[in-house]
Amino acid sequence: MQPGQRYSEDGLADLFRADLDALYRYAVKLLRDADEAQDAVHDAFLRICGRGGHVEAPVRPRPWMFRVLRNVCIDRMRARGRRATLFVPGSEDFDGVSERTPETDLVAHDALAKVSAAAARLPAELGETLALVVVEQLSYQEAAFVMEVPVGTVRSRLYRARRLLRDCLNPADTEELVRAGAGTGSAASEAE
Amino acid sequence: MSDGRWSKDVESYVDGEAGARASAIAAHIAATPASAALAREVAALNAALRADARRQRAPEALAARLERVGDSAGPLYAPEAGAVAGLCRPAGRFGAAPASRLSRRRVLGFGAAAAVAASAGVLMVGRPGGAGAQAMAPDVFGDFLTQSVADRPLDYTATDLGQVVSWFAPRLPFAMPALTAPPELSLRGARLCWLLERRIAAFDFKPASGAVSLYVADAEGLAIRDGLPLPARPAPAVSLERNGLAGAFWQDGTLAYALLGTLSGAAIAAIAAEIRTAG
Repeated sequence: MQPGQRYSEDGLADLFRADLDALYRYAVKLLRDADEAQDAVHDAFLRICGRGGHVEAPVRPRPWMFRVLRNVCIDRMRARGRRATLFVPGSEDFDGVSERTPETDLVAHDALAKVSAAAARLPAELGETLALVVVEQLSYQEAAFVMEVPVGTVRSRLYRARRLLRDCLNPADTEELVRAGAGTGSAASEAE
Repeated sequence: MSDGRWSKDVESYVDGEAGARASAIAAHIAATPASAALAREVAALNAALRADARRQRAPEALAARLERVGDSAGPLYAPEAGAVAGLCRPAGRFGAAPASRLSRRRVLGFGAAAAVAASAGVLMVGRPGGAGAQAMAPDVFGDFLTQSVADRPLDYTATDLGQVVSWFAPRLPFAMPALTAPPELSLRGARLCWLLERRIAAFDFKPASGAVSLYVADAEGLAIRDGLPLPARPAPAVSLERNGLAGAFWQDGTLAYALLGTLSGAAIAAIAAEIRTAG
């Protein structure tokens, strides 16, 4: 990520607000606490936009904003002495950091719900990578910048995450997803 | 199932990350049913994950908190009257968004935009952009920066405007009119966006340098930004500039248009004036 563009404080604030949903989702993904995620997003906003005057930021500020937010979240977890789920050794065990609850099991009645429930149970670093690349559509390089890992690690995490998700689906579920385009109305799924 | 050697390549291809190997991987997918199936599965999985996650939106209270940060006239964490003394949290956390305490900069911004509109002789005859109208500019500027400028993959690639308009036809809740654009703009393709709680069509053009995108949406309930309504044609478009990006906003019939680009504001305004609709 090359540095080197000066933004007005208002300009960065507008960019941040335009991406507020994505940043909030990412904070919830990391902290697993909606209230604390709001505080973290607010702190990140202050770090990015509250300096006064003009701010030196990368030419592509979006991944930089995610990275600042990530650092805020890590600080919060450390400050509270919480187990840092982002970096748990051995968290590659699929059920090791399970978020599985009776509720998630009950709602897993169709393919989309199964994907949702399975994604919530992914190891933290795999779920985070999926969130950045698939949901928020950062490039591999941008996601690597945010998480401070090599691009190859992003690629491997995506492969492992998808393999785990696909293992949760039976062929009929997969066919339903492919046929319905997951009901998203997304252009990718509707493309001719 | 595709063998492991190709699986990561297929996934990268679906993610638009195959780079120089894209054509080789595409050929492999075309020739290998298992890899073609994998590509379809990964695309469907991506769509499912995106649809599921994007139901989660930032709370209104959080947006209100951030709005208050810009208020340079007062302290960042001033509690509302009645809040517990010493509890240093913004009032937006505890209830409805505070009434309009607009920042000094924001007021100046509105003034500047209004001055631009007034100096251009713009008659604001679009739908009123008052309270409740959704501000179009922040979302389309954000989308343009993160998609078009970042050169993210398109949903549909075509160089003919009519072809793209036809592609959009079954995918939009409004009738897309026939469009004509200046010949110096080469069309690259299109993206179907979900912004402002509605489907929005985005045409991506490739000018001589940089990027230009045209966003088309149902104008119902949209303003350029708070207090700045869309000017209805034949009035000229309203121009805004942000961080080296320029935009021109207007309304034609029931549709809202935003032309954004990495070109100068004057160049974008000139291109906007040449975009014609029919039907």
